[in-house]
Amino acid sequence: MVLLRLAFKNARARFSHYLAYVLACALAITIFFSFNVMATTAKFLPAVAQQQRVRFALLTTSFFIVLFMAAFMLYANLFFMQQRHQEIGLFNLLGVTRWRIGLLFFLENLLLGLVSLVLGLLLGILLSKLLAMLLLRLLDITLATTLLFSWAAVGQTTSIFLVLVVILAVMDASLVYRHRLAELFRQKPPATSHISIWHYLGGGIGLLLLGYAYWSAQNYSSVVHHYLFFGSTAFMVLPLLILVAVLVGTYLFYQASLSLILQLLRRHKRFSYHGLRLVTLANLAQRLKRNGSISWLVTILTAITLTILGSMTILYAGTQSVLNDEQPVALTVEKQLSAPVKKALVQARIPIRTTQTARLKVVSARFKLRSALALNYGAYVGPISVIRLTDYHAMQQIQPDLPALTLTEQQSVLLIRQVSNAGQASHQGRLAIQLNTPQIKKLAVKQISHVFPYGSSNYVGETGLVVSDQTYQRLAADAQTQPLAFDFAHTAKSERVSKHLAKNYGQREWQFQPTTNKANFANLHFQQLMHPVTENNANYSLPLLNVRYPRVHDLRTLFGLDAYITGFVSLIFIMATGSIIMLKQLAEAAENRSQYALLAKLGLGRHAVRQAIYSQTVVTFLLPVGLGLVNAYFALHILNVWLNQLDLTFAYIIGLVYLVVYTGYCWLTANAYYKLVQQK
Amino acid sequence: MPLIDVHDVHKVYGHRLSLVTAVAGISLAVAQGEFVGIMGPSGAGKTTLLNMMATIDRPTSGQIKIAGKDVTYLSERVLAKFRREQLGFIFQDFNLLAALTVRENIILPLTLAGLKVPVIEEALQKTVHLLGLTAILARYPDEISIGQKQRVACGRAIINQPQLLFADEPTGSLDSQAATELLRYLTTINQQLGTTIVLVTHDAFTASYCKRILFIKDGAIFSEIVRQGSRQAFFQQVIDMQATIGGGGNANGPFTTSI
Ligand SMILES: Nc1ncnc2c1ncn2[C@@H]1O[C@H](COP(=O)(O)OP(=O)(O)O)[C@@H](O)[C@H]1O
Ligand SMILES: [Mg+2]
Repeated sequence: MVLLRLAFKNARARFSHYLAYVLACALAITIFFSFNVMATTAKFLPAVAQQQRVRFALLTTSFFIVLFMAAFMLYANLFFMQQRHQEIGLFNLLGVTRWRIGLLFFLENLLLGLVSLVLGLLLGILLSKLLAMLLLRLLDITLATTLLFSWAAVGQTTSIFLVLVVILAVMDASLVYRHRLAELFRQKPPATSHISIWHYLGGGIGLLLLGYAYWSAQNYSSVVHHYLFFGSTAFMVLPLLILVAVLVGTYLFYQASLSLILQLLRRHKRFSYHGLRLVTLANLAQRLKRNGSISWLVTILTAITLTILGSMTILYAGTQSVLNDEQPVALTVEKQLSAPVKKALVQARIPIRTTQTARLKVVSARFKLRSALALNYGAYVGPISVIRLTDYHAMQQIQPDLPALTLTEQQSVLLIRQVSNAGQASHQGRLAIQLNTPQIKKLAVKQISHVFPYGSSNYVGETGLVVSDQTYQRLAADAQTQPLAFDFAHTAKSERVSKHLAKNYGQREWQFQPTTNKANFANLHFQQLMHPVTENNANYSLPLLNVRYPRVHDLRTLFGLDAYITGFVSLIFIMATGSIIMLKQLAEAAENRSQYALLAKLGLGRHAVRQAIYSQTVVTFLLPVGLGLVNAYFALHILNVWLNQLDLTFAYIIGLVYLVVYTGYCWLTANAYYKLVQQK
Repeated sequence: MPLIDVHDVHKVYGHRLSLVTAVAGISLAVAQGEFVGIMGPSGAGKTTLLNMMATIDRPTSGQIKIAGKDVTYLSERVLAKFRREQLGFIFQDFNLLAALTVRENIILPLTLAGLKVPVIEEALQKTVHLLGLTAILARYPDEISIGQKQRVACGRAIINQPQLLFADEPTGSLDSQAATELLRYLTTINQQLGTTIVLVTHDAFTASYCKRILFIKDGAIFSEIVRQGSRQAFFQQVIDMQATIGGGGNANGPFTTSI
């Protein structure tokens, strides 16, 4: 069939042009297939704990990959069609019926789609084992994997992408079919334009908005005080304002500020009258204008993905620090439950490094913290657990990060959770705590600490007080608890035993019930109920047994899964946007061939041409990612202020990966561009 | 010593199976200050010959000397510098850069040559004044008429005061009035600045502005005529010669009636 041969020839001739597109499609197919095969392979998933969750995550992600791919392919196809207007018109003039042209395009598309599909599937079959191993690694699971393969996954991948390709091919063909001849030969509107008052206005406003947003974000904690007329919502309103300023500012930056800056540079003769600079500046203005919308999209999406990744790590680090607050010790258990627990540990031959115990007195207390942020602790009325200084210091053996304290009889140290205190100045001035005991009514709070001996989950109301031994002695308690801490190393076995113990005893808890109306502090006492109690009807409760290592494991799993999925999704995202920018540049290269031919005639050396092309390409590629990185940096800065000083290394690494991948694209594009331009 | 000395130059295009001989052994000489025309039917090899003289293309065999220097085997880099500094070009399709304004298009050769801003500004003023382009300096090529475009191209060609100006069918897309105007400018440049001009055309009216015309057919020199009397008489001579050559000649060109 002549048409098929022609389609084949066309597709082959344009293959280098389509390479980026095909590769991006193939990569998405690879990842889609791998996720699918992992979700459906029976022998892989059952081995994974929380398998429902992992399967759900994998399937949801692959669904979004399909959506994203559909958008990407649609965009790329429309772009190709636009590129080939002239060709279609020419065929039409030559007397080929529109139906046949449509069919030709349909076949070409199908061929490209098939190549991507086959490539993607082959890569998927080869790489899915690697991807699975990476997932297991991130989920902290050791499991020997064989080559993963399932016909169901192959079938699903093939059918979904074939449907996509066929829909697009039909769309293209019908577009061709319906096109009027005149439209096909329509010339592009000139990309040049004069700088108008709107450029000054829009460009200026864009830069101001960006400047305002960055400045406010950088100085968030101090700037927020100027927004207090919004009341306690100021802490939400300011980030929202910043977000809007960034979105609009970035848009105006691409639409007006850039043109303005380039135009001003062009008018600055001392700068622009130099070698090829005039041409470079003019070309850049044209390119950035044409790429305005996609650049904006890339900038915003880069910023969003990096912010998500960053905040994910912030959340992870946050959860980690919550765990460190709550349960810094491998296992804590109430004294009366300790015998069977200890027996279980010894039976499992888990080497116990240290044990430590203390008696905590539960009393009613009242205090009030001053706060800058709305997220405050505010006033507290309720039970707290009191520990004596000797017991506190004894625990340093297991928790070396417990700060050393010195206390007089009138002083105390208040222990409160870090999250409850988020964003607050730790300096509270003169603070006192009122206690509802006959002997001691009031103690000065010397300082506030976030490090709980035994962990905050052993303190009633998650609030504690450290007092001197003498004061402790005189204190009449409503109730008493006696946690016993076991310190042992984190191994697979100790984790398993901990989990088992938590399953057996984790439901049992102390419960504390106010005996009088809470409003009347003078009469407030707390009654300790009998255990075990399963139905929760008391105001305060305390589990009798707490374990650390299973929670560490869950945390890692959670984070590993998120990191895995976000990582791959953002990989597809950068590949897709990178190839769109690349395609646009290469299409332009063909257009600009005559320009460079002319410059060569005017006596421009190859070296200068190469340099001009490289610098233009670098700006076009790296500007959106660079600006995206800057935006993400400030967004994370605000989040970091909110959620305390936490770790951003992962976000920085991903940002770096973005830069590296885009630099790679940039290099490929510049080379291809140069070759296209040099072609005679 | 002639400014351009072309000696037995051949140019063959294509591969083994489909060879096209565009230029088949041409020798010619152009003296300093001359205004030479090259005429011939379409496909005769005029553009190819001009491009080789202008160092844009290399001959397959033969030798081209400019100002006594053999340019045939010079490196690309040296040739680029030579073109930048010594030559000017006007093309049939103007070849203006659409992204640059008229001003920027004109000064392009000077910025490429690395001149200082005041020098560039002065040269620009002179050129613009000569060609009457002052009013349209800030416009883009899309916003000016065809005649203006060709004058801009001309301005770009002469701004670096080249000793040699090459023009390939410069009037090809102009109406008669714009063509006449451009040819007058070229004559002025030739007479006042002493610029040597080599002009390719297939149009008799345009050719009649030259002092000497070489006729090319099938890649070889067919004959040569030199202007002695008035331009009108020379024009008639050209028409006659075209009739003699025949084959794709353009004796009834668009400007025949405008004389
Ligand atoms: N790059 C090229 N490749 C192959 N053939 C060419 C090329 N350039 C010109 N030719 C051929 O050389 C001959 C002379 O072309 P040209 O010099 O452009 O003629 P003219 O300018 O006189 O119309 C023509 O037959 C043309 O087809
Ligand atoms: Mg020609």
